[in-house]
Amino acid sequence: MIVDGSRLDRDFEESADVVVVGSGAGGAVVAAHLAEAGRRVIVLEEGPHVSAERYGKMRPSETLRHLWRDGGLTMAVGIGNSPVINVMMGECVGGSSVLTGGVCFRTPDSVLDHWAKDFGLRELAPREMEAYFDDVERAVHVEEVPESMRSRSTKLFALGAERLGRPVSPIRRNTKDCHGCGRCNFGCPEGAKQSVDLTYLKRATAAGATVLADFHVERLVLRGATVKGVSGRIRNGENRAPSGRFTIHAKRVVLAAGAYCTPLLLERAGVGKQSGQVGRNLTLHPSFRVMARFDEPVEGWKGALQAAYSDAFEHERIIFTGMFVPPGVLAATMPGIADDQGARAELIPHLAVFGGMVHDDGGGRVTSLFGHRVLTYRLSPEDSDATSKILRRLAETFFAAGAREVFLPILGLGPVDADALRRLDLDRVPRRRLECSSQHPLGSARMGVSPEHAVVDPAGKCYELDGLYVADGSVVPTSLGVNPQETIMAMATRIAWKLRDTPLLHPS
Amino acid sequence: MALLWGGSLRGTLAPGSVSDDSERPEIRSIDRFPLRHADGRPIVSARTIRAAIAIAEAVFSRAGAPPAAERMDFLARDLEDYMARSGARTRNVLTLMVWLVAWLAPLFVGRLSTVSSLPLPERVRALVRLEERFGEPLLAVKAMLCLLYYENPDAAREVGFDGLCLVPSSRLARGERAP
Repeated sequence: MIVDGSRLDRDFEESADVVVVGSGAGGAVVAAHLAEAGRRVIVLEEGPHVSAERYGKMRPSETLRHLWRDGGLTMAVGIGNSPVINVMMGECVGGSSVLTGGVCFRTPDSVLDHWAKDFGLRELAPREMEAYFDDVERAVHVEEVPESMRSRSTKLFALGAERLGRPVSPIRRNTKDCHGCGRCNFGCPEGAKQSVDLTYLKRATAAGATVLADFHVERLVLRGATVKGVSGRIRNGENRAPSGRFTIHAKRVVLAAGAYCTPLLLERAGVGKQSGQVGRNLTLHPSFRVMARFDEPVEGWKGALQAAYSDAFEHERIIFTGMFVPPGVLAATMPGIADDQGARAELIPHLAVFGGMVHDDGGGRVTSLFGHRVLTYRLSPEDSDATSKILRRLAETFFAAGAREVFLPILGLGPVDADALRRLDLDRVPRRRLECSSQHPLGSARMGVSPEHAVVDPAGKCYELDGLYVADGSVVPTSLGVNPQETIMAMATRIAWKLRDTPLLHPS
Repeated sequence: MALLWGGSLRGTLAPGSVSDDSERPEIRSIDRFPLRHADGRPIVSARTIRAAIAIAEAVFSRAGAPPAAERMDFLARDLEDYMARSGARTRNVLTLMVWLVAWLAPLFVGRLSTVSSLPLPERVRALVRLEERFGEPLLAVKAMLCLLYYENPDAAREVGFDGLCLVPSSRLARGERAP
């Protein structure tokens, strides 16, 4: 059952075996496994419940205002020579999973080996994780995007990459019967993307779990050093403002509110004084897109939104992935006012787009200021170097495919042709003038084998409080270098299976 | 108050608060929220919307003329809806950016007034100079305006976007047109 909290007309109090805070890629997975094991599970979601049928009919900007946190405009403040980063996250039943491009990568073996060797997380070694990845891929139907579904935009980039001797590879996504309408980021209009609202949450509710939408958790209910539940406000006031109050008593609390929200709940409960790690180590995979103008019509919106990637430069901490954005966003990022703006907007059907992201070091932090979350991010010198390389390599690839000019994500810079690119010293461009975005906040309550360096143990249990677990992107120990959806689901599966096998009577 | 597990919760909820797909596949909660406070005050001030539309008229003007009035009306309504529903933090930041642009841009053409009071050609000149020298606040406002403006089907068609990718293939097969 899914309850629309905005329609409740009273306060709410309830008990459960397990309360899961957050209904995205982490929370939904935990809820499904525990409910299927016979646990009484309540899932609390801060955002509204919008059915797939309904969000599938929305315009892109409508999903921004109804499904995305802060209307899609959450910002990480750049510290030092760093850009402001637009961090996009879902705030609805299903969380960001509803709004991803559906890209599914297993955590690279090199990353898992690094965690095993350097963090002591031997239980997360590649062979140990295989069963969890297998389970996730069955549950959300991970499949390869066929070449026939590539947009012309992706095909042109692939052509350039091939000519430069570094061919792209097909991406795998969680889709079933996808026809490639290119708007995955705004909610799949066909129900083809197997986001968790259509998979794990359906399983959870079928097994008896209850999802309470519009329930904003404010704090953990503590008795000594044991967590006994959560409390907060129901968004049943005017314009979804918090009004009613609720308390859920539970034997176990699983935080799965994401790397942006989980740290604040931990901090309010006093977690982090021991390790000093809560809210730190945040990685974002800072991402940049380059647009290229071709003589031929491209109409890049026709085809799968993300169909191919390249890890040819992983040694330079870079991965390239296909993408496209709505025409309005393309127009917005090109300079010009009035007739100049119009002339550039008319280029939209001739534009190809490809993105690149940095396998970053973790210069981010989530802190609170007067009770409000604040994100900051400092680009390390190595990540700054990688940024220049992303822009240059993306542009060079498009020129190899025959592009006339490229639009780099540098504020105030007009189109650049191949000669101008050669002359452009990208290392000297102030990083605060870069347009940068992120969809992958990770690591703000990381997993580790010692309470001095980590917030949760290898089973996801909080070191400092009994009865409390974390199962979302915040436990990921380091940046991944690939889209994190499948990693989060696999780690949540692992945590859920361990919880399932633990007696509920005693919290520790 | 064990309402859930005894099966009694459903009976205690207000009509429509259970959004179980099997019972009610569509949820209507989003549309029922008014864009105004209970006392009738708008959530986004009319002055802010007017200032943003004055900027939009300049950004989207062609050959010295602003876009058609009905297109600007569509944009104004959609802009108010977007800002009203996007949360207080985003609304406050966007409002600040709109006013920053509205007051800063005229300074670049030697005028001390808001952008709304400038004639269109001067407004365009002011925004061009602002974009060249201090583009950050204008980028935020322009991004918001462009996203909404090009969702108008007529504006989208003008730049060659047929909008077909926004219609599920099952509905296209039934002959449904782009939104």
